[in-house]
Amino acid sequence: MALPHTTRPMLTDELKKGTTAFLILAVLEAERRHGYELSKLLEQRSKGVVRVHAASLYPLLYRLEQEGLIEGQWVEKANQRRRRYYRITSAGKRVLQAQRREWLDFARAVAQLAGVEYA
Amino acid sequence: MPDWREEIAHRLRGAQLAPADEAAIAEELRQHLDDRYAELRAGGQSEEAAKRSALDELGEDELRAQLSLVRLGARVPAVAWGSAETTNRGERLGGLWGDLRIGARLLRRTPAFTTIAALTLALGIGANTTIFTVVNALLIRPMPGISRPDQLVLIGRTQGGQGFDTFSYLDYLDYRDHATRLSGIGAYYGAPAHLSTGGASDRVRAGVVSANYFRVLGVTAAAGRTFLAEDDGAPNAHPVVVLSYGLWRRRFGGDSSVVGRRVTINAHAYTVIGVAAEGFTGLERNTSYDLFVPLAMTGALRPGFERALGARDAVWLELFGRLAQGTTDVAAESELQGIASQLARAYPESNAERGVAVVGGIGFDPSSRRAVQSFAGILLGVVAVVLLIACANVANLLLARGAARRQEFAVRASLGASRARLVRQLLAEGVLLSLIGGVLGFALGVGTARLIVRLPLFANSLTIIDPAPDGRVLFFTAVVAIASALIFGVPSAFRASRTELVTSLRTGTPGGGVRRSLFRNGLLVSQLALSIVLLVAAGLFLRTLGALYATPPGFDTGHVLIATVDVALQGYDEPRGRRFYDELEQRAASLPDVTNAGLAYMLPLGGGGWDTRIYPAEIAPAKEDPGLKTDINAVSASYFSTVHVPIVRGRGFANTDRPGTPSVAVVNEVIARQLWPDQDPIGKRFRLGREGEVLTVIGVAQTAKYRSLVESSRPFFYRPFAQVYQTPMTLHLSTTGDPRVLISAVRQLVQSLDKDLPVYRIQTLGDRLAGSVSMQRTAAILVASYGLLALLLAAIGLYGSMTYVVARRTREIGIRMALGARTALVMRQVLREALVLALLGAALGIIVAIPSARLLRSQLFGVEPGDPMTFAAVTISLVAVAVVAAFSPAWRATRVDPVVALRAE
Repeated sequence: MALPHTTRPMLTDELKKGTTAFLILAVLEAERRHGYELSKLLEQRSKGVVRVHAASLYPLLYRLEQEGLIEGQWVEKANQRRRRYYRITSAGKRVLQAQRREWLDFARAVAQLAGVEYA
Repeated sequence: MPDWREEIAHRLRGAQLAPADEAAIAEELRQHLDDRYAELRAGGQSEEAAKRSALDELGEDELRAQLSLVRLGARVPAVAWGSAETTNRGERLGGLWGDLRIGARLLRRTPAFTTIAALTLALGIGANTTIFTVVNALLIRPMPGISRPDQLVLIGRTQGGQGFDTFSYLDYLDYRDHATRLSGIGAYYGAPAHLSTGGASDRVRAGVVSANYFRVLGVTAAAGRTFLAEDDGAPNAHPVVVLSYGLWRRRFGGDSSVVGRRVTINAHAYTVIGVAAEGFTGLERNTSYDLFVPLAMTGALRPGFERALGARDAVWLELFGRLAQGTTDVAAESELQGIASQLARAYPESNAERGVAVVGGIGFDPSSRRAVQSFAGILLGVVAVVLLIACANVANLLLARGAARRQEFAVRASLGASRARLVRQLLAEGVLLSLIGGVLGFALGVGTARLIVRLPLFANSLTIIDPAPDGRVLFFTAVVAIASALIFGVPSAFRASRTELVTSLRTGTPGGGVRRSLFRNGLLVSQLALSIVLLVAAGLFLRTLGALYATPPGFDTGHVLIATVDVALQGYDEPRGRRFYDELEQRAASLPDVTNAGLAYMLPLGGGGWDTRIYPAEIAPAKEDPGLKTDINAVSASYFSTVHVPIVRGRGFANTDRPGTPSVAVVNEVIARQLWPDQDPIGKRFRLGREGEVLTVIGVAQTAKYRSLVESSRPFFYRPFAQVYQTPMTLHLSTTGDPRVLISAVRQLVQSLDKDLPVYRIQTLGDRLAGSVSMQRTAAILVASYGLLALLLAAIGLYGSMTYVVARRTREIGIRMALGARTALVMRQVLREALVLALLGAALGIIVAIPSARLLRSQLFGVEPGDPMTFAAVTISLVAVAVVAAFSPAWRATRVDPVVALRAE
């Protein structure tokens, strides 16, 4: 399945650099995931707006883990190769809550200033 | 499935991750590529195309950049929309904590850099801790046992508004009884004493004190009591003594039943009434008392001194007081001044012109305090310079490191880190370095302080300087460490954070190179200049010491042992004293290895002397003629041959020069030349004072050094001990071998003559000579050590800097070598750069050193502050050290392989 060539704008680097970690935490909030799943989910749920390359993803996961926001664990299932699954920690949940609030404040402020109707 | 292993390994190379982390990331990346590959294949791509797409998506450069963030321990960037500037204080502190954590991680990853920087700082900070420990013990630390020392003042007598002198007992009583702005005025003087208990006899220092001495100082008793008013009543009526805590432990094993016991002091029986608080040894830092007796016992302690208790003209008491609540030393002084004026009117003969000065703080009289402070100031200045050099070194190291980290900063800046953020990160690293340096420096400094107090100046002084660190030393070290973090950290942090992002990211080559190297070279030059300043000081002190050692004292210092016995303290009268000293001299002369034995009253090179004014006896002196101020000594007949002072004309003393025969003298060449120029002085006569005894010159002795090695030729004459009785006399023994082997024999000899007589000051004349230059020796040792340390640090700085320059220019050097430059030329170029820096540093250093050296003038002897030899030697050694330090980097430059160099960037 080749990626559909989309006309939708991709997130600019500027916006992306702070957002990826936020989104990873958000995806992990529901369920633990391994890296490839994560990258697919981000892409699918954002309808292709958010694309995280492996080159950024794994180092970022490593750093999030170093900061204690997520926790990785090697899991072996029958007849499958072992995979590293990540789950959010309680510290990660707190940061996620804080970032959600900030995002809402920010988005409202942008919407108001820019005259965008906020959905 | 393709094998990704090699591709991944290639991309992870150089990421410097911990092996376990690297393996984990490699495995995840492999799985990711597998998944992606499977997906692309399922989408219909060929094996080759799918493999290439998967790898392309992985992106080599992006991975590198991200991994470098991992390696550097960068924090996950805050969400872009989060308002970083408005975060609350708690979060900011958290940020600082995070910076420190990241800094620690980074420092751990570069152990070589961290070790060198921390050790450099430790040396600089440690030097300051050492000197401060000594200064603290000498000047700052409160003296033990004394309460509220801030309220205490010293009171000095002025004469015509000048000086800070002692008082008479009667004046003391008037001040004590009439002053209201002082809650109490105490008085004391120090005197040597013989303490005998249970067969053992010691020479100790007695504080002879007013009854209120302990009360005014607020010193309590560790056992028994201190003095009451009635203890200091009628003369010699209350023989009571308070022991110092140290003496009590030393002599009585801390036995509290000592209170009430009888001891013998100067052949009088005293009752011990108490022990002073632990640590208390008087209120002077440069003297310590072993025991205390009331002023009223003065007569028993020093026969003949009781007269002083009733005379206003005898000034011998040190005064101190405690300010009443709410008064100042100025107010107290004006009140005492008023009393002084009344006394001057009532007793014009003794008290005219006398005034009072009050200074806050105890421990030193004003002039000693100034001397100690100026010596301490020189030492603190020296170590401050060492610290500056160390800081410059670390700043340079940080700059070089900052240059190497430019890509990291560029990446972080592109990820949204502000410059302030980068500066903060760099500062946090600096603080960590100075913290490590501070801890190491504290340990180093405290250890070195223990060595320093063993240096002659401190070891020979009467005060025991306790080198143990206290809270003040810890605080000082912390302040120095933080200050150094600011000194080296701030400029290098701002420098390193100034990245031209775009160029750095794109090309990986340094931006702003010229300014950066100017700054770095500036640091290096100032470092070299500061070392010059220290080395000049060290050189001048060493030359002073050399000049002192080269000064012949004029007597034999190698083979003479001296030992003093004070019979007057033991209550001997003159006939008994004479018999004792004569017998001592005779029996000492027959000890094995002794070639000669003599006696003398004054000892040379003690700083002081016994002086008088003399006039030629033939002509009556004019009224305004001040006479010739000259020093005297009383010696036995064999003294000259014992210490090898040559008699250049006439004869020395003989046994025939006795009481009842004409009074004779041996003068030195200075007197002979000044009183009887171009005449034969033998047979000439001179008078002691205007109307004193007349002495006949029988010989001329060669001029020697009397009070100190640094004095210019001083008039001096000798009288025979047989004609002028003095105590205490010092036995001089000349020996064939090492005089020290005689020490126990001399002690035994004195014991056999009188078992209660202590012998003191047993040493060689050589020891005395060495002791007389202990100040200069200590200054030379300290300043030279710190000067060498400074030079070493500067050399390390130069070495590091040249290494960095060569590394940075690898490409340029490679191109030049590829174009045919010869190795000698390349080497010469690097050395020339080092040489230019060294010469600039030397020039700047000399400019600073010339006025700084003048500050040392009072401490120098035999050498001018601008001594060209010293300046030349120091400059040459600095340049030589600079060339040696640059040699290895220069050599490395010639080994640059052009091919490797060109590929390197």
